[in-house]
Amino acid sequence: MAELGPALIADRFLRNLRLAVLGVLAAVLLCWTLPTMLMFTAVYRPAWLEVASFAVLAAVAGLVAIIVLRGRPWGWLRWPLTLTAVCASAAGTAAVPAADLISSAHWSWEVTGWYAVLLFLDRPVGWLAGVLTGHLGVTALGIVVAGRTDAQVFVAMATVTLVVGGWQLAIGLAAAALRRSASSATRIAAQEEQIRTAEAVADQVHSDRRSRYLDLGTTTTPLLAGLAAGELNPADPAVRRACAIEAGRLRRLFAESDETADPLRHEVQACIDLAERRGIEVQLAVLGERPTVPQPARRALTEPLLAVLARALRTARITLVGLPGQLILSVVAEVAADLGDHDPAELVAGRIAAELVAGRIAAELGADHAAGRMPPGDADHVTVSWLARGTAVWAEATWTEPP
Amino acid sequence: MIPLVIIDDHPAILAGVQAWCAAADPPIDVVAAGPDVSAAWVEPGRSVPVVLFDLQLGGSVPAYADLRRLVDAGRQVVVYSMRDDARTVLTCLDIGAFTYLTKAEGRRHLIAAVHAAADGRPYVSPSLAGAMGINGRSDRPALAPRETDVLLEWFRCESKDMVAQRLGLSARTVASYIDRARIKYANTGRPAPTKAALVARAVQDGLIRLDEL
Repeated sequence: MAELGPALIADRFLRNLRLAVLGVLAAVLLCWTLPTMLMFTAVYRPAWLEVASFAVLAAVAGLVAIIVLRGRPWGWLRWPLTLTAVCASAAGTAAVPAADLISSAHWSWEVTGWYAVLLFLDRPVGWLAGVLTGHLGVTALGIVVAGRTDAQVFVAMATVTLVVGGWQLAIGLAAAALRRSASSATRIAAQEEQIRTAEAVADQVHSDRRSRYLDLGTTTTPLLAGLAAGELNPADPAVRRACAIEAGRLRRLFAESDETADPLRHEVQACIDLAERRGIEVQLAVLGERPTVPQPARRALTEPLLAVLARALRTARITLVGLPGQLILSVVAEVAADLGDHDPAELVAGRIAAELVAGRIAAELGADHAAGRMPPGDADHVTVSWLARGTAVWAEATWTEPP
Repeated sequence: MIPLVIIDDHPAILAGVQAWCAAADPPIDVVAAGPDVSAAWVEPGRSVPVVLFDLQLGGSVPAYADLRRLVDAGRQVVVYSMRDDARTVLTCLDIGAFTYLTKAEGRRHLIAAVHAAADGRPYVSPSLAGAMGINGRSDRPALAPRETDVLLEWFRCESKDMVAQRLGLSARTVASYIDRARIKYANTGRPAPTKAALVARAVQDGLIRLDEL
């Protein structure tokens, strides 16, 4: 689920409110202001100023409508638009003769508040109140300058302010309430999301554990059972090798669940640690930028390494080379020569490389060299190739980034 | 007897390398050794052409300036360092080092590298091959794809015979691919007497033709 910020949820709530206010503004302009102005054309001094005032307000309304319908934020346009509307309103007031200031002919100042409502719907309600008051001040100033300071005009103004301004402020307050509920909705959604994530993680951890035990069940458990029952002789080199491989697998398994920046290198290091404990001198060289390799592929990459290291005699050279879209884990070592007791037919899919290397070397020790290649698995995209020459084995696992 | 100067600030390494040199065939005579570069600038070390040089003297900054002065004086410098990143290796190559060995590689390659340096033959260690093969810089010399393959395979397995078997070539061909790549590198970057000598020797030996450079 996409992350919904409070701003985004509030936007969805406010969009409809904004459309409604736009509808009100359009209705007021077209059904009331325009006929009124046309009716009183003869009254205005000069008439063109009043018409210009209406034209500017209508143009601002058009621009505002475009922005609202496209669902865009106001951005830097908010203040120029507000200022233009207030100035147009002041011009409209200036064109009304003093005697007509409390009649319907003075339409402009009743309309302008709706612009403020639209433009400041997404701000704290104080901003709207401030702009409305500012506009009221500008209009009052215009009236005083026109020479009307009698009680009659101020009573009329107060009435209109209460009726129209009350409406406008109420809408502003409603918007503020919507914003508040938007932010609590976001908070609750985030909490629910967190709970869902935690559940998914727990599920994953559980199934990972199960699959790990399954993996161990096919390889480690029979070995341990055999040792416990006395069927396997710990003095037998083959049994020791099997133990070394299983110990390596366990190490790798523990390393897999560690959080590290470079998991593959960490897992390779886990395999190396074990070989070093057996007194093998391991040299690791790393080269190039390494792509990120998924976990099943990492396991397939380190499998030949485990097997060769378990049989290594004295030294081993491990290299990790990153090429564009490719990663090669290679190991070269002198291995023990008594490897003839492995039947390649026994091999289980996941254990391939290693066992095959061992089996083939034994079979072909007489020959100058032997080589082989195993095609990539469907899930891991790892190709394994190996070359044996005398007692030296060179095994390479290559991961190619799937297209 | 091949004379050699060793610059390394670890007494144990000095002692160890001296022991390898004494056992080498033909034997290598460590004429001077010391924890800083002055051993190569005063007699008896001053007149010795081959210098084994630890890049990481004392501080954590590689001693590129000291390396540069040695190269400019026409010394064949075998760089010997703990660092194994391609960038450091390529920088040393640019400055004109004769070859580059990581300390992990030392045992197998050090004596062979000193012999080659005394003889003016190129010597490419696995770490150097890896750095040349992976080099993504725009000013890298144009290596043939086969040369890059051979360099990277040699980096991985350290055995020319095994690389040869894998690629279906002869061990000689593998060696000449590696040397040709080294000569191409010697011909780029900063001009240095050691590099010029390598190129001249390679042309003499017919390893590479003038028009290939």
